[in-house]
This record gives sequence, structure tokens and C-alpha cells, in this order.
Amino acid sequence: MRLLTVFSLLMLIFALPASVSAQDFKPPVPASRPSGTVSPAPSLVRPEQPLLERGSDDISQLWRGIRMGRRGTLSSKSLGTPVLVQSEGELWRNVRSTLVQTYGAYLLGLAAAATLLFWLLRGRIRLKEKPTGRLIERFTLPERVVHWYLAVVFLFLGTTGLILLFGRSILIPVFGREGLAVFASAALHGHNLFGPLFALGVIAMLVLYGRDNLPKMADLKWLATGAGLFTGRHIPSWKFNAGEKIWFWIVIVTGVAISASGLLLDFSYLATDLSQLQIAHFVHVSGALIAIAGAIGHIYLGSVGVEGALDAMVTGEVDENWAREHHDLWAAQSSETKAEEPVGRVAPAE
Amino acid sequence: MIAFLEGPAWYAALTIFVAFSLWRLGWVLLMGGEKHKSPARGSAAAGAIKNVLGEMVPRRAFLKRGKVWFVVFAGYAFHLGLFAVLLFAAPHVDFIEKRLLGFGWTAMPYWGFIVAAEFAFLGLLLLWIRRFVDPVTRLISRLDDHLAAGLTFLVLLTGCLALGQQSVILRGMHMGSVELWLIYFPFSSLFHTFTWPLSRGYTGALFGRRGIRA
Repeated sequence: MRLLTVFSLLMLIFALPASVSAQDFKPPVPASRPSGTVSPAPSLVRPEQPLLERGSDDISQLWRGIRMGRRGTLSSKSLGTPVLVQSEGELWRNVRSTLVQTYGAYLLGLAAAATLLFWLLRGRIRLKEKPTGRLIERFTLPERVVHWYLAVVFLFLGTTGLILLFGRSILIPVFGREGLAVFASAALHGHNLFGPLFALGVIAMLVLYGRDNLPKMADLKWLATGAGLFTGRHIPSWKFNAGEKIWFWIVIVTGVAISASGLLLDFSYLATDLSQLQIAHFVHVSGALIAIAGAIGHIYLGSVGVEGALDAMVTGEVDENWAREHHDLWAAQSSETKAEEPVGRVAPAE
Repeated sequence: MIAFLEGPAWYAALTIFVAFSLWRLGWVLLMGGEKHKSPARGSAAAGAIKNVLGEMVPRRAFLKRGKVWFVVFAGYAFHLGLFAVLLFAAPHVDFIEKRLLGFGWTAMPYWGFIVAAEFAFLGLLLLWIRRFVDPVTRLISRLDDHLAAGLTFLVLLTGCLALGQQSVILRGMHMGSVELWLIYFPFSSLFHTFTWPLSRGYTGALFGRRGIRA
């Protein structure tokens, strides 16, 4: 019922036609039949409210009952669920095939277009002054390893996930059905295996980066002034500016949602009802599409969009001028910390 | 193509692997050791065994430093995971029985295979990424190190993609990557798989004979 409510609301919002309409099931008036006529009911299901009136051989009546998801009784408990056809599944299938695929594609296209537009309007964000040659440590080794670990796993999961979501539409025209079968099989197993690795990465990311991504007052000013992205004016920020913090918490929230729903889908025997898996699938795909859309912008800014950003995450160090221009409050704090260190202190061998 | 990969290519790769591994091992063993002039103060054999087994346990000092701790953990995760997957995954046991030894053994349950594969991937990814971002390992890593890690990752990945055992193409990709790995193996740092007990044993024997507690 909960699943029906959620999906029905979404269908109404986006004005998509429902291909499955709720039919009022009214059992026909049973015709009297002599006993001994063949019962078309499957031997596995004996309905509590009879799907077929005694003596009736109306197969269409039987099928209507089964098709509407009416529960029967099983001759043996080991045979599984007493529902032959889960009608909500058709609604879920339609939502996935129309709503999710269509608007998911729009979202990804919008993200790519917005990134391209930003590059066209703003260009590469370069340093205003020349580098000083003096370096400040920005990211420690564990932070960099966890970041790239999560990036690699995310890229793999995103690629395999997109194949699973859009494969039928995009790959069949190119590779044919047999080609899609190969891609889909590979993507499915790869996706299932790498999923738990992603969950570990999200947890590690939260532990290592969480404290520095907590909101501060300076973030409000950063947001209010539009980050100075289009004016070129520098807005003070700490180690991470508000935009980076927003992206971090998007990763964490969608990461947790994707991981939890993904683990339920991976270990589907934990679900007590099929509708739980359908809801989990919807949450999983929605979270993943949001994360992929955000990642498009993040990958652009982190690689070519901002001069010096990639160095920070590879070498762990940034130039003093870079730190002052992009994160001046953090740069000042780092300089104070370094000045307070006793002279002649030998760094521990690592 | 699959007939070639599971036929001539497989036998060629296996022959190169066995032949050159034996050649390299033989070359190491025939090098011999230094002649000792001083009297022995302890048992070389005991020292060798102690060092081979003792070095499997990480030193306490290494576990205190966070950076080194994660390297130790990742190393164990990768090697133990790979060992379990290679020798106890059901498809591999089946393959060894039918194509190699003629006999097999009890395979892991499917969930055990998945857990082992997760650990193998986790360890390998962490260590390989570290080679790129740690300035020290970035400096001392050679092409061979990256090729060894890359080929091993490729074998693991193609195996993971072919888990369903439905697609001939995916199975062929896994076989092909395994054959590349086998051919590269004897000529690379991957050969530490066979030389590590010799290296540790020799050092341990030397220390044991001299009565050194290390």
C-alpha cells in the first residue's frame, strides 16, 4: 500500500499515464457445473477465498484473481509465497522504465550541460599571482588514498549501474541483444561485488573528512555571495568552502542511501516483502543518479576546472598562494600551527 | 576464439610459466650460500623456520603508526583474499580438477568466495593507489610494479565479471588475462610468490647460525 501511494503520487506529479489501472475485482456469478470437471487452478495454490468458484472452469476469472495479486494458500510451506503474481511489480516496472530512465537521463544531461556552460562562461579558474614555491600540506596520505579509492570504486559502480539502467535503450541498437547480454551479465556481477567496497569507502570518507566539512559561519557568506564564481571576487573560506561541503554531504547522504539499499538488494533474502526490494531499488537508482550528476561537476572542477586542485589530491600539498587565494582562513590557520611547532623538531619516520 | 584461449594459448602460457619459474628457482638455488668459517653458535634450520613463520606476524612497532598499519592490513587482506579465491573458489577447484591435477578438494561456500574476493580487491586497490599518491612509493615504483598490480587486478576483475558463468566472452576474457598473467609471472616481481620463503629462510638461517635474535 505504501509502495502504491509513493508511486501513484509520483505518476500524478509527472503526469505519466499509468499502464496498469486498478480494476475492481468482482467475481462473476458462478455457473453451476457438474462435479468432476477439470479445475484449471494450479495444484500449488488453493485460494482461501476461492479464485475459482466451485464447479466453475472460468479460466479468465482465475487469472484475474491471480493477476490482481490475491493470496492463496499453499499445499506446502516450503513452496514460498502464496502470491503468484505481485501486481505492484508492474507499477514499479513502469516507473523504472519511464520515470526513472527519462528523468534520470535528463538529470545527467543537465549536469553535463551545466558543467560545459560553466566552463564556457568562466573558463579555468587560475591563480591570480604566481606560485611562491612554498608548499602547505592540504591532504594527508590516508585522506588521499581513501578519496581515490572511493573515486575508482564509484566510477566502476557508476558505469556498471548505468549499463544496468540504460543498457536496453542504448546498447541493443549498437551491440544487439546478445551483446547487451554480455554487458549486462558483466555489469550485474561487477556491480554486486563492488557494492560493499563502496560502503566501506563512504564510512572511511565520513571519518576522515567529516570534521572539516561541518558548517561554519563563513559558509553562509560564501553562499550568499554566490561563491564569487562569476564575479571573480574571492570569498573567505576555511579548509573546505560551502560548495565543497555541500558536495561532501551529498556524497555521504546519497552514499549511505545507495549502500543501505544496495546491500538489501545484494542480500535480498533479508527482505520480508517484494515491495521492500522495489522501494530499495528506487532509492538506490535515485541516489546514484544524483551522485553521478554531482560527480560530473566535481570531476571537472577537481581536474581541469581549478588550477592546482588535482595536485592537492595527488601530492597532498598546495602552494601558499593557492591556499591564500582559495582557502585563506585555512591557510592562515595552517601558518599559525606551523609557527607554533618547536624549532628543530624531527618529523617521525614514516 | 574461446577454443584457442582454452586450448593452445592455455597450454603455451602454462608451459612458459612452469618452465621459466623452474629455471629461475633453479638459478636461485644453485647460486648457493656463502661459506662459513666461524663455528656455528646456533641452529641454521631452526633460524630459517623461525624467520619464515615469524615474519608472517606483523611487528608491534608497525601497528602503532597509522600509515604503516593500513599498509599491513591491506597487504594481508589482498594476499589472504587472493589465496582463498585462487585455491578455494568453486570454479577454480573445478578447473584445477579437470584441467590440471586430476583431483580437487572441497570448495568454499559461495558467500566465503565473495568475502574473500572483497578483501582481495580492497587490499589491492588500497596498495596500488598508495603507490601513486605516497611520494616515497611513487618515486621507487617501477613499471614492473604497476604492471604486476595491474595484471593481477585485471585477472581479479575479469573473474568477477564472469561470475555468472553464462557468457563465453567473459570467460574468455578471464582466461586471456590469466594467461597474460602467467606469461608475465616468472619475469617479474610477481615471482616473489615462490622466492619469499627462500629469502626469509636464508636470512633466518644466517641469523640462526650466528646466534642472532632478530
